[in-house]
Amino acid sequence: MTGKKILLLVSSCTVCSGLDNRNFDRLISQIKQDRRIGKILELDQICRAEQKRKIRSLNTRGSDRAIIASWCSREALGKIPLPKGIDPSLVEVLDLSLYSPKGVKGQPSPEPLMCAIRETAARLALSEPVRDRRIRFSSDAVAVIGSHEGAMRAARALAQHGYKAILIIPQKLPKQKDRNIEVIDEAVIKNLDGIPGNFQISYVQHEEEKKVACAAVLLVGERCLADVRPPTNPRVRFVPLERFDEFMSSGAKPKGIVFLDDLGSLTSASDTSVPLWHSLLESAKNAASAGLAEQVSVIARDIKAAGLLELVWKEAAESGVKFIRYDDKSRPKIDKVEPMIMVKDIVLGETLEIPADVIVAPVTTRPWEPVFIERMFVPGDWDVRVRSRGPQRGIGQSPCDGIFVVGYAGFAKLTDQSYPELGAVLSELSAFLNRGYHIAKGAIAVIDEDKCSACNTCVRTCPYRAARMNDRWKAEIIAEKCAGCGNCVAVCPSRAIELKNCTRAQIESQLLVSQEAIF
Amino acid sequence: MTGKLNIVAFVCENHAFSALRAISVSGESLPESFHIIKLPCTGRLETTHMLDALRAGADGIAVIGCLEENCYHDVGSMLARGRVERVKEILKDIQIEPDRVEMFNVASVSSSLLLSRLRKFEQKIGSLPATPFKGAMR
Amino acid sequence: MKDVLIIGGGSAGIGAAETLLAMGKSVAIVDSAPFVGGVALELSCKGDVECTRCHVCMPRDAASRMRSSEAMEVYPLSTVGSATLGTKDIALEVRMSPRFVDPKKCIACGKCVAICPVKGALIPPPFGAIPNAPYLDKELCKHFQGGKCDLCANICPTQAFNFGAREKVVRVRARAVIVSTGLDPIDPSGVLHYGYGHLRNVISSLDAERMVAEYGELRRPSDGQRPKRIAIIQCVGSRTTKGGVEYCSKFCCKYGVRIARSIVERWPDTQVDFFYMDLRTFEPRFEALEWAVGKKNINISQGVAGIVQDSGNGNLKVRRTLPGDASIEEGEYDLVILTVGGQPRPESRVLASKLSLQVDPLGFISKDNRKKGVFVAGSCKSPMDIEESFADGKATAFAVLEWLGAMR
Repeated sequence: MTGKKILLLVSSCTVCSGLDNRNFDRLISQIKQDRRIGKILELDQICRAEQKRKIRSLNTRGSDRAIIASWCSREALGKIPLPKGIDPSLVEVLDLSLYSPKGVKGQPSPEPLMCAIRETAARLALSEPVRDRRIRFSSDAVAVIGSHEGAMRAARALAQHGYKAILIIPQKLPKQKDRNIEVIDEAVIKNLDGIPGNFQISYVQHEEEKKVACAAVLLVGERCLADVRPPTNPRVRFVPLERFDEFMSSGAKPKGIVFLDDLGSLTSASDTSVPLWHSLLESAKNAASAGLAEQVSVIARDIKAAGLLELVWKEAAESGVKFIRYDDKSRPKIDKVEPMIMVKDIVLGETLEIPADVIVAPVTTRPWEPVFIERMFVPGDWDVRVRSRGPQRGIGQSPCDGIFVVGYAGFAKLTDQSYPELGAVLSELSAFLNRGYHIAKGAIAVIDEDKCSACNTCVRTCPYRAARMNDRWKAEIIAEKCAGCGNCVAVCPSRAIELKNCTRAQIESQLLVSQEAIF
Repeated sequence: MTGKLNIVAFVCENHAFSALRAISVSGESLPESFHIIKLPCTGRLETTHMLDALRAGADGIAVIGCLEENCYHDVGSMLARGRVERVKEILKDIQIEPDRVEMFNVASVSSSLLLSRLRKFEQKIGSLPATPFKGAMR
Repeated sequence: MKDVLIIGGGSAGIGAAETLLAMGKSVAIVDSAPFVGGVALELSCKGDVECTRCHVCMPRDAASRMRSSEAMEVYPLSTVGSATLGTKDIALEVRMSPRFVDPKKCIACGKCVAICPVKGALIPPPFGAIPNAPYLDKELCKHFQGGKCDLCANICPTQAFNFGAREKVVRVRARAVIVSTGLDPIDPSGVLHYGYGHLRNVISSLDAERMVAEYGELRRPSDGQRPKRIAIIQCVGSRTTKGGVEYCSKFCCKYGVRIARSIVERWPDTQVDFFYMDLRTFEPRFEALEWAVGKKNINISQGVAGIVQDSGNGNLKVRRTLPGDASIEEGEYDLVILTVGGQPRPESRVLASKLSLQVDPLGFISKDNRKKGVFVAGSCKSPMDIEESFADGKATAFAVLEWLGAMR
């Protein structure tokens, strides 16, 4: 423990605190008994500018850390007045209004306030000065990772809006002229390392391992089609939904066209995402209006005509499209001999035979390269699509700092639905690049190599991939990546890790003070 | 159960603390028995800390963190819940009421829900017999 | 002069403001409600242990981060009067009704709320609301309704109360405008067979959310008890030609499923029956419903629930089918929740005409006025949930940034 004491600045506004002078003095005299606390200053209305100026020019001799306790909300306090000569990271601001009962007849007890101040002092007494650093972005380029069409479109969109794109794709690309797009083709991504604004992507191209630097990464994904097992009945033809327009102009005249909500619905419990229903309903409506077949039907678990699409559904029904809903217990089955589908309509309660010499369905996509989920530690969902986890992370939001997701990498959607998503992504990307720096926290985890047993638990646990094995075969924390969450500290079986400013000693000290509390 | 209750609340400084702070502006305050220990993430909390708190005389322990899958640091609150469950098992083995330790997951917007849960928790702790460790470490 | 004026500070407006502020632009937000933050301010988080991704906290967390930004000015309880679309800027007349609490002085200590004798007269700011200062409802406040009361003004440590505050008219000039006025909830009393409005224990999804946000639990309006058998009916007031709107409101499936989940998880002794027509959640069905697998206290039934009638003691009988059984039966419930969607606001149409924006026959704003610097974001264009509105707000902000860079 440091020899120097803590300076306590308490807002003494009796109206704010609800304490009368007598109780306020009791509070102060109890706090005085805490050996960690040195000088105590009572100032009226700390939130006011002239009081803040007073605080900044205080004589702080004898103290190297301070607690500023007031009854203001954080925003109302505004800029924290830092007493001269005290390291900013050793100044704690305490909002005591959480602890003071309001609307109480008579005096509220000052004891919870005293506990709050003393517990804060217990932690602060053992803190060390730390400094957050800003690490400027070393590049302004955005790596666009995906597969051919989608990635190319995204890269072009970025270039059009004035960004530098580095396109990394597995296919071979003919030479293209846009100066803002650097193409790395025939490349397989190996790893992503570095910190936001200073990423290094390693890849293999023509059997050589190479590296490229970028500020941000845009994952576009790939439309990986699942292996389509076409219907075994030779009299039934399968047409993928996205090729229906071609089929319509091919001159074919089938007896019955059936649109399925998913080809997979025949064999498993999957279904089509809402964005693809737009295409499905429009295609069905066009087929019926054009009299393309005697019967146009849509067989689906739910008719996902969400929002204004509901009106398209109505139009489709009015043009003669038949809508049949089934449930899990009675999935549609293609007849083995006749060109038709048997399905139990759960609304009518009857099993129907629907003429189906053509079946149209969107083709299920299989998950994309899992390497990004694992190696880049981008949060993924159960089927290994990059799904932005958590509410801070919705459509267009980045799953982790510097990494952005659009297109199939997020979820299946049509091209013209990816563009609005790209708008939101570009907005976040702009804000990111405009920020221009990564904050490397000062209160980081530190590993004692002597205690480390090289079990790799911290390496696996760290949400920021900040822990790794060094060449002495001991774990170490990469300071720039560490966010100071302390998860590694708690999981280490050898207790080899400590977190600055939240050490075991600090937690124990706070615990002891909380249990000693006497008034 | 006589005497003043003493409940240690381990709170993460992210969503959980936002929810706590917002209690004040709605005209309420934290029940007096709660002593707050702020952590960078509930994932920082170790099983031993919870046992230490009980051994030092705490009547109850509340661990307040982010919702799972919404943890500011990805996995922290999930790990914390695992540890809270583990502590409950240990307490059962040593004949201490496992209900003394509880995990609360909240979003920043749920301050009134959190307050009502904490009040119910305080009531539950109050209905338990006195902890055998009161004043053990003074 | 501001860079961008945002009319409507809901999810879309907040999303746009976040981006614009991050890019160093100055922003003003006008909102007719006492707090800027939109409908999300009234909704509750639906997660018990696991986050259900209802996105209620997304715009609110963003708003609370932006609150202290000096480049942002908010005009709550305000409406736009006249608008002039000039060549260099857009001039708007903003009419501000008084809030009686000065946000610049308020320190959010909560003392006034605790001491106010009239329930609901002094409303504390929900988390994420801007400004973070209570709102005094003149219609309920004793001081304004003839009584003598200034308890709040007296106890306020910073003298933030001003009962004499008057309506103000301000001229605001901005280089661009974003209209993000959102939707009104559909009133289910138009759907007569559900009895909303005369059967006490029939409430809307919005009522349910407000109740949970305030009390932390659901209560039967008739006796204040926690309900044990709940029916949740989807698509009320949407997809209909009688008593509602013809289109699908899109977001109510998402919220309905999450409300059902939060009830089942938080109060496991409650039996919930969930009735829907089509499940239009964004995520695939098996994912939207995986939480229900194996739980005995939830029935998810694809089949519209029919008539709701009084069955005595405030209970309700509902004619419906249960899964696996095609017969129509009556079930008895002690609370019925009608999940409602949203419809365009009449004010949006009025505002649109002032800014030369096209509105479609349903009331949605169908075309912006980019040439003159007027953009449109969020659910006032088409039904959208919070997540999509937030993203749309950001996409629109990006378009505005480019336009500002290129044009002005």
